[in-house]
Amino acid sequence: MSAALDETFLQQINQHLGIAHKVCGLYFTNAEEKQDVVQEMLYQLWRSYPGFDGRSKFSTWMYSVCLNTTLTYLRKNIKHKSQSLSQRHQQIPDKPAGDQEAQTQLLFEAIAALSQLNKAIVLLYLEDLSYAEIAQITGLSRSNVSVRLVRIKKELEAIMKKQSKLYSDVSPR
Amino acid sequence: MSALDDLKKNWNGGQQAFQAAGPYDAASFNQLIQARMKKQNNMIFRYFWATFTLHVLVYALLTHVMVRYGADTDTLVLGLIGFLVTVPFTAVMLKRYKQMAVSSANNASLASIYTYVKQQRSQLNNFYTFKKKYELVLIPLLSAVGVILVFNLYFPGGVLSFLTGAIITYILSLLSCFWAIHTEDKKYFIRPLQELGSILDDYKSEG
Repeated sequence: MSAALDETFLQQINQHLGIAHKVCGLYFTNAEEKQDVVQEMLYQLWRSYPGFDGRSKFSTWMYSVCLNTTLTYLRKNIKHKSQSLSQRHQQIPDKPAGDQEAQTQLLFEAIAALSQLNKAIVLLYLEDLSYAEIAQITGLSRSNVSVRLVRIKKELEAIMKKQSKLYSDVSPR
Repeated sequence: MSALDDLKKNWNGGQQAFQAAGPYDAASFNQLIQARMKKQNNMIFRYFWATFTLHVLVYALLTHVMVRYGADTDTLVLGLIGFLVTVPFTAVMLKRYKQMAVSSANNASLASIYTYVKQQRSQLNNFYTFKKKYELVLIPLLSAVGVILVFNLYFPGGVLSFLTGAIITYILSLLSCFWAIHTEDKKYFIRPLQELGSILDDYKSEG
């Protein structure tokens, strides 16, 4: 790409900046790390933009680049895979106040336990992308996306049930 | 309705905070790009310089030995062998590393996650296979040259007079080199390859 910044590119990036933040939000917890990954995503988007031919939507292309960048980042920065136990890890988590809030927190914790690929599928599903778009981004077939989503939903329910039981076991009576 | 479907209903409403991030203007975006470019170049050159420095040390040592003890034909030949086996490997290895580092940065777009991960795994695996072969030939050869030179120069009678000591030194230097290489490989190649492999396995598990 030329040194001059493409005006259309910048407009599109600003319009879809939420995508980069959402992908980060699902894969990373550390704020500093999130910021670093978002910057890396923007850099990779800038580098890859000349190859974007407009056959797919800008947002679909952006999801691809952001997810691929995340996977590379996770592979290169293995430190968070073998984190030592901090004080935060040793605390028994508080049960969130409202039922709705509690459910959402449990769900996010369950999503965090999914495989990297399944996390990507969940994010794209939440973003309301069509099965065809999810298939295009992940490289799965449409039918596989559909089957996988059913399995993911079941897996999430199972994890949430386990977590819910854990909370009720540790909470004071 | 599943919990995920419930979350999906409220997903976009609850994500307004993300829209607040940015927007970038041309100047701040350019600044960001420059900083990332610098960071990436540093990462590439960190490995380049580490490898290069190691080889410069080998060359400096061999040159010193050849200049000081060049009158002795055996020493001169051993020094030249050391040069001849190291120079081509240094050149090819750095060239391959550069190819891998540059192409991996360009492939982030257009490809699906599956294709991208497969490409990454293949590139890393190719480089790792080459590196393993390279080290399997170079390390025993260079260690042998080093041990023979040291024993010939500093022990009267040379290797033949201290055969057991020379063999033990050779084995020890081989073991220490391969231990260090294995530790490095585990961090930079074996574990990343396993991770990429597990993502690809995840695709296979769906049939």
